[in-house]
Amino acid sequence: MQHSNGTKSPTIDVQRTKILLLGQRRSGKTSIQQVLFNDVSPKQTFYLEPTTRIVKDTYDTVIPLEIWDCPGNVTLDTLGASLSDFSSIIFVIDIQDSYQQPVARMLDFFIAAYQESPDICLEVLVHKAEAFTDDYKIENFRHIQQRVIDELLDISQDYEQMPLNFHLTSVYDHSIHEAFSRVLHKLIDSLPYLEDLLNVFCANSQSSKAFLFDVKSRLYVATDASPVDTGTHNLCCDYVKTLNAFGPLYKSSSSSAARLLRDSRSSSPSSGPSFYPSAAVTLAPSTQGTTLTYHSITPQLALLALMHTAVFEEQRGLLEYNVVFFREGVQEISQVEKDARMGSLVV
Amino acid sequence: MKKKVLLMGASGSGKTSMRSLIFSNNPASLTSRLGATIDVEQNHVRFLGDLILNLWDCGGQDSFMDSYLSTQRSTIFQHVGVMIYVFEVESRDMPKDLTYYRDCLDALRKYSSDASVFLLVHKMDLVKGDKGTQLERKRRDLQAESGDVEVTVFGTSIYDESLYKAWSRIVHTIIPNAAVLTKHLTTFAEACSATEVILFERTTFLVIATSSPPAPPASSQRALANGAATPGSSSTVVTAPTSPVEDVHKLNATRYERTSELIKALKHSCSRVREEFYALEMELPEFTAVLDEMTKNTYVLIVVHDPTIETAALKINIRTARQKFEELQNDSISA
Amino acid sequence: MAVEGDSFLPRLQSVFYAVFDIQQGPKIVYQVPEGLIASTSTGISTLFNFDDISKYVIPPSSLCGRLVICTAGKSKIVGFPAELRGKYERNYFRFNLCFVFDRSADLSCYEPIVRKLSRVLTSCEEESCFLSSPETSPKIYAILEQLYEDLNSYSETSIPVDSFNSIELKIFPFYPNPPPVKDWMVPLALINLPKIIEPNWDLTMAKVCQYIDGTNHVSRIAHLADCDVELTRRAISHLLYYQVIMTIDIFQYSNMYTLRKSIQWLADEPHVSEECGPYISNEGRSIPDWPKLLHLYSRMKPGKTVFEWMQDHDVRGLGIDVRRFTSFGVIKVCPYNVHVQRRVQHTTGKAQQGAPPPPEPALAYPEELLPLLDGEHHTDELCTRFEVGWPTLERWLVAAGGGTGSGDFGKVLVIYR
Repeated sequence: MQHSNGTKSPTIDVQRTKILLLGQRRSGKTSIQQVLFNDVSPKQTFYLEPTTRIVKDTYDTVIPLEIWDCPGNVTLDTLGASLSDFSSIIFVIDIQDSYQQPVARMLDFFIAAYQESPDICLEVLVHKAEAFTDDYKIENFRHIQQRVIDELLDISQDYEQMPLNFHLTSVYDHSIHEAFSRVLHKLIDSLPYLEDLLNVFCANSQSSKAFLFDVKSRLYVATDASPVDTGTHNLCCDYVKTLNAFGPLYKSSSSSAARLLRDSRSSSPSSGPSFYPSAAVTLAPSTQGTTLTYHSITPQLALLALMHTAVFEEQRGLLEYNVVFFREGVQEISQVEKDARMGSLVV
Repeated sequence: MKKKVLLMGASGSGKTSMRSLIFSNNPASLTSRLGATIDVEQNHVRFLGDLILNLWDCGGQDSFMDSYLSTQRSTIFQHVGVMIYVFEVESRDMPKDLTYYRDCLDALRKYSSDASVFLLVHKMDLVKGDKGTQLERKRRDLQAESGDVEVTVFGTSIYDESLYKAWSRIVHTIIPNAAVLTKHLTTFAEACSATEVILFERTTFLVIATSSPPAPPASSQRALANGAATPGSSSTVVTAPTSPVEDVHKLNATRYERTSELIKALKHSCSRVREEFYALEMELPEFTAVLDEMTKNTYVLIVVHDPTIETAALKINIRTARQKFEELQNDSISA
Repeated sequence: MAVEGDSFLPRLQSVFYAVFDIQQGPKIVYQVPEGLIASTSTGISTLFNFDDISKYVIPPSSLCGRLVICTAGKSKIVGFPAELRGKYERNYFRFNLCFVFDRSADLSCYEPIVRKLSRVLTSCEEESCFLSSPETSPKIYAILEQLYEDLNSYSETSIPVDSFNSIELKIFPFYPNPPPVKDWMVPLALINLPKIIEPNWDLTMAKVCQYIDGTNHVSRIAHLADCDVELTRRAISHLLYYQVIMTIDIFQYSNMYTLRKSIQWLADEPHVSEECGPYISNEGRSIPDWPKLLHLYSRMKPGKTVFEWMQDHDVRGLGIDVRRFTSFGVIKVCPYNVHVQRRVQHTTGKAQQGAPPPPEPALAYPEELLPLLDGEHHTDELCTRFEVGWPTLERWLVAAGGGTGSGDFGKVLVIYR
């Protein structure tokens, strides 16, 4: 039975969505990849060795990903794959670097990719934003953005329609998570269905905001229709991080394993785990406060919902009930996605 | 007269940074914005509500040190409860640091002979290579340097939990009757079928006391022996895993300080969206836990491994125990 | 504009420049003349030991950006510590350029100098790291030398610092701020004001000066000059600052004056006696001799109004202009202390609630008058406020107090101070 469990061993029989990570030497490509998917702390990225050859990393979330981390000097020829194989190309520019070279190189790649497949997602990460003060970094960000667009139009007016997305990022705060989440959203075919599920959940559980997070990378896979407030997103990110860190702290070598056994015995003996971790953090003591709930949905995903503490305390039953249905929905969507990817390989 | 906590060490060794981190809830990333401390900054830090820590953050520049050791000698070193001396692990001028340290120790011996001395080997994050051996070497050097004065050495860094470990130990020497709290926490843990109960100070989230490890049900004999050993030996509280009882759970040894660090970070995240952290409950694959207000100055973390225990039950127990602990704490501090 | 001669300017004993050193703490980098201030506790110092005052020279942040004066030994040290935030090793750069004087020196004229120096050096540091960079900081020594020499010798200096900044200093004698100007005060010129008016003077000032005659009070001047009363007050205050006018009380026949001790020696001052007669006499009348005038002055006493005094001594018959007579007394020789401070108080305050209501007033008086009868306001103030003379105000007060008049104010108490 095929069961994706987040292990690194690439399961060859799944068609993976490929992401190409490009950028100049020392622009921070590997740091981004390591911070997001390998749980490396931002401070530690300082000691990372330069990437000398293309490293293909796989990551399983709601869709299986394959991220190609390239050395700074990679060219179209040395890449060893067609650009049309990739669903998304991310180019990382160091905000402190001189922009001329990277921008020219980036446009070479982007134009080539655009010509091969006009639907490809082209993402520009203006990175290492932590080096500058708030005002200055936004000014620089705009400057780079303008420069890229100017140069693109200088090459040809035809590229006006090229779908470029710019993100200002840093591994030292949550901007890289938010930016990469947005990159990811464009790659998830089932996104509208997940969003619908979240909308329905929010409406029925009186939640003001809900995110479906990938637990390990702390990227959000989907959210409901209400606008994303950066502060709330950051809090959710930190919350998931805290819970991830808490787990191993009080792990009992004798008793922890038994917990899961008991639960799977007591519930239906059918497939899949039936113990779903959950948590809730209450903010502000009064009944006016908010509660941020956490419910594990699949081994990779968790639902985070923001609601009034009063609602959480009084209608917890209803909430749990809604979560069960939400979970079934997400699991079904995942299954369909998985079947499709397996199937496409057969076809 | 409130006993003083002296925070000393060479300029730039990180005294004010750690103070800002522990007592002002600032994240480590902000400490780079702090300026040098001019002369002595006196702070009355409210700890556990009614216990006031009289914290003296002493600027480490040569001219200040000279003045502490000469004209201000008696002012600085009188009525000291605890002296915390901070050394940079990779100091620019260790011989000079040590000269000042010895002078301070002399002054302390003269004016406050019963003060506890803690030495923090700070900025451990900068050490390349094996941190353990380097710390061990420093520890030996410093102990030799201190002569017959009893000192406790910690390796610390503001970027990990080690700072919380050191400071939990430090404040523990200041809290009177912490052992009584331990006893009651143990009883409380039993009542909750909990593996462990930990009591934190509310603003700093430093560990005040923990329950003693539960006695294994099989051998009541050993449990008795353990119970007899506990009271009075304050070190039991923070070094619980070393207790003679066979530890069946083998919990992570750094869990207390890690918890302090995690919760402080979460609190900080909450404050960034102008929310105030209040309580946390978790049913994780590894354990079930509730972190909630115990008294108005403390938080309690109950960790349970029995999967049949619900978080709601733990919350009720906390509510029931609140009054008792409020009284205990009052007694403990006024004592 | 200064009338009084330049006040004595204190002599600079030493000038020094101190910074907060990241390793060593507060320290003197340069001092001129060298060696006067000891930097270590063992050093032999002529003036004082730097350690004793270092915490005021390089103080905590809260004192930076403020004038700090301290004394040590026989010296007084004035400085304006500055703190700059920026890309420094410990985020801050702190410095202070201090002047040392004798302990008893009056430093008021140096305060603006110290402030300005700190301001100029701060901007040099902000623009080019003039103070913190090792290439340019040695230039500070030359600046100290020139400050010391020039300020002591010429009371002014001009030192170019870099291509954009220079230190331009001139020491002015310092006048204290005048007391607040009130509407009922009567300004009186001490010099010939119209003579010094220039075309580029402030318009209000030019207009106000025309009406300063020792008779008009401030609010009347505003009215006559057709100026805003607040602007008028400021113009008067400005003139007061430069000590070209002084203020006296409104002259009324109901005023009372009393003598001051200084009359004893003033009586023998020839220039006073010579000046007095011609000034106080009505034109065309013979000038009374000095002993007679002195006698008249000596008859002014508390409890006796000018009017009564005139009647007693037939002052009018002597051809004396009484207003000039009193103002000469008040200004020129100061033998008098004005004592017309009639403060009025209504004795049936709000506290006495059980008291019967006052009888129906015989005369209507403004309602706003009653709350002002609290012992805090004097009659000149009330007169100007309601724009009435003393006779009217007196009738109002009689009516308000329910008294019978001629000295009896009923429940209104007049306090003479």
